[in-house]
Amino acid sequence: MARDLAIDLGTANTLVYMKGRGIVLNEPSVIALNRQTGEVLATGHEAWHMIGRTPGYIVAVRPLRGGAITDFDVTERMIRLLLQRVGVSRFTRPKVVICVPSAITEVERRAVTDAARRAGAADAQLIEQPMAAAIGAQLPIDEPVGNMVIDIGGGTSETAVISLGGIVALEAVRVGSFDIDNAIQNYVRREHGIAIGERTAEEIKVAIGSAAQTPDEVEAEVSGRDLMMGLPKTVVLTPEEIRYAIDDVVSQIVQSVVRCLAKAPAELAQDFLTRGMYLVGGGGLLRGLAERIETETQVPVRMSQMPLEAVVLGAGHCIENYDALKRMFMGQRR
Amino acid sequence: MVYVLLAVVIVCVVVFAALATSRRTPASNDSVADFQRHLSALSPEARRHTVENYPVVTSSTEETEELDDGA
Repeated sequence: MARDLAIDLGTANTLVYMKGRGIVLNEPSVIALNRQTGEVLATGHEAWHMIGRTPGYIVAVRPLRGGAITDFDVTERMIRLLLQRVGVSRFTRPKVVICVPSAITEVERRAVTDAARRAGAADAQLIEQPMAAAIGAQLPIDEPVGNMVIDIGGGTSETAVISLGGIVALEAVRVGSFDIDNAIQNYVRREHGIAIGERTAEEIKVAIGSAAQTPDEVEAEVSGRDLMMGLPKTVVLTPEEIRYAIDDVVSQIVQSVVRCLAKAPAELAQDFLTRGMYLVGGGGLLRGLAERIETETQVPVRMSQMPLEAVVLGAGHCIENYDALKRMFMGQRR
Repeated sequence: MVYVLLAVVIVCVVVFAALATSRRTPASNDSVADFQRHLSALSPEARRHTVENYPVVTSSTEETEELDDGA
C-alpha cells in the first residue's frame, strides 16, 4: 500500500511530504534532457548544477514558470521520477495533494492533475499555496481572526487573508524571485556591458541583494562575458545598484500586499495591526523585504519559522487529515 | 413457505427502519459536525504533530549557498 503524498511543485524547488514520514525530498525543480533522444539525464540538484553549463546536446530546464506548467511532457516525467524516488511503483498508487498558485487557470489546474495522475497518482487534489503556507506556518486559522500570509515563491507572490479555515481575501501576482534574478541580469548587461548567467544572478541576489538599506552592506565582484569584446570581464557591484535594479519587481510585490489589505473586511484590520503578517517562501528571505513591506503598509511583518517548508508542511497536514480537510482542496468547497 | 416469506418481510422492515433512523438526523447537524471536524483538524494542537514530529531534509537553498563561489 502506497503512502499518500503532498507535493509543493514550485517554480524553484520541489518538496515532497510523505504521510507518516514527513518531508522526504527537497530539491530544485530542474530536469536535464538529451536534446536529441529526449532521455532524462538528471533531475534536482544534479540538473541544477548543469544550468548554463551544458554541451549542445543537453538542455537543463525548469518545466514550471510562474507556478504553471510550461512543458507538460517534461513536467509529467519529472513528477514520475519524483514519485519513483519516494517509492511509488506501478502497483502502489498513492493519493497526492499538490500545492499550486491560487491564480492558475482552469486549464493549468487540469494540466497539473493530469500530469500527476499519468505519473502514477491514484487521485490528485490541488490546494492553494497561501492556504497551505498558513497551515504550515502554524497560524491560528481555525479561529475567527484575520491571519495574513505573504508567500513569495520563484514565479509567484501571493498574499492571503485567512479566517475560520477559509480564504477571505487573496491577491496574487506572477512575479517572484526569478524575476529579481532576471532584473539583476538585465541591469548588469545594460549598465556594465557584461552578460551573466541565471545562477550568477541568483548568487548576486543572495550575496548583496536587498529591498531596503541594511546595516552590514558589502560590495561584490562579478565575472561575466564582455558583450563588446566577447572576453571574460570582472566588475564590482554595490548593494545600492542591486536595490535600484530590482526595485520595480519589489514594488510589484509590495503593491500586491497593499491591494490584499485593501480587499480584506474592515473588521479584520485590527487583527493585522496586533498579529502582523507572516512571510513565507524563498523570496521572503531577501534582505530588507520585511522592513520594506512594514514601512509601506504600517503593519508588522514577521518571518515564518520554516519559510521554505511551510507550504509542503501545510499540504502534508491535509494529507494526514485527508477526510477532515477535504474542503481545503480546490474545487471541493461547498 | 409462509414462515420464510414472513421472515423476509421482517428482515426488510428492520433494514428499512434502520436506514430511516440513520437518515433522520437533519442535514444541518451533519454540516455543523463536518465544519467542527474541519476546524479541529486545523487547530494548532492537531498541526503541531505534523510540523514537529517529522524531520526536515536539508533545504536546497542551504546547499546552494554553500556552493556560492563568491559572486
